[in-house]
Amino acid sequence: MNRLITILLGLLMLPACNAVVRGTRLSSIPQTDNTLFLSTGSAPRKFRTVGFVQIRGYGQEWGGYGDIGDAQLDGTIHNALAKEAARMGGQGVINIEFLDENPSTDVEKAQRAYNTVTSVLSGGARIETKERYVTVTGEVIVFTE
Amino acid sequence: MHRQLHLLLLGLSACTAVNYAALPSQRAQGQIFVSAEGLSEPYESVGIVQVTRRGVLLFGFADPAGTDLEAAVSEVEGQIRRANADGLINMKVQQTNYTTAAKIVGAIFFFAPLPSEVTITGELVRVRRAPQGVPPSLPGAPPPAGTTGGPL
Repeated sequence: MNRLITILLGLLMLPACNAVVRGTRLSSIPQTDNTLFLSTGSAPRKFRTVGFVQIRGYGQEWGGYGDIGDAQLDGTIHNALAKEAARMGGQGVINIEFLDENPSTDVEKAQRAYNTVTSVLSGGARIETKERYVTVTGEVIVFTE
Repeated sequence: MHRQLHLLLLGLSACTAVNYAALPSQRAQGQIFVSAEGLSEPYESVGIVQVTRRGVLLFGFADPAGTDLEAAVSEVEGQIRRANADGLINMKVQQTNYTTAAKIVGAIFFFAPLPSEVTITGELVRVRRAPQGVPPSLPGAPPPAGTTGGPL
């Protein structure tokens, strides 16, 4: 019984598991450069829809802080999505929706880094990894005016 | 017959999960805003952001980690201020929702807490203000009577 109470108290004292993922800026309105137009909203002028794209970036987080692969918002949107849109002949991608499916909280990252460091120091050389996925969808468009 | 009908209605009412948060979409100078739609006026994109809060529901109902919409919106507010942005547009929400019946089951099997998560995504923006310094109004914003929501 005491053990159960201890577990429940431990759960109650869990810190808020908060994960924040940030990505760099998309296109501003009005657009100030001639790059591919990227927006989570609609287009600033008339357009024709070319098609839709969904990208699922896969990567791995090593030791809590090192990211390998395409499981970052920036890489998936500014590289994979933009390249695919350009391949379709699009001039922009609108209504972009993104989701980092399993972001790590700061506590999880610190724990993985600690486990990796202690493992390496004790000669185990075991790096803790976590599979990461980012999904991005968007509407590829061509401006008609 | 009436009793059976009442029991049926009671049972059906337990199949709806409701969760809400005040999401202010009105804005005055110096205040930040959160909106599920875009802006039709000029703005500068600051970046994209995703806030995820993860935890468990103890006894089916207690939410010590704050995995509800209100807590997530508060975190979004912090992110807007940290990025020195004016607001968040095109917000999308994903949240774990349990029906009342599921929560009661969670309360009975209290030793297995229910996992809970809320995720908010959106684009941080800075409004390009008019030369006179008068901020343009948010499209689709409610009348400034303060009847719905309020500034963060």
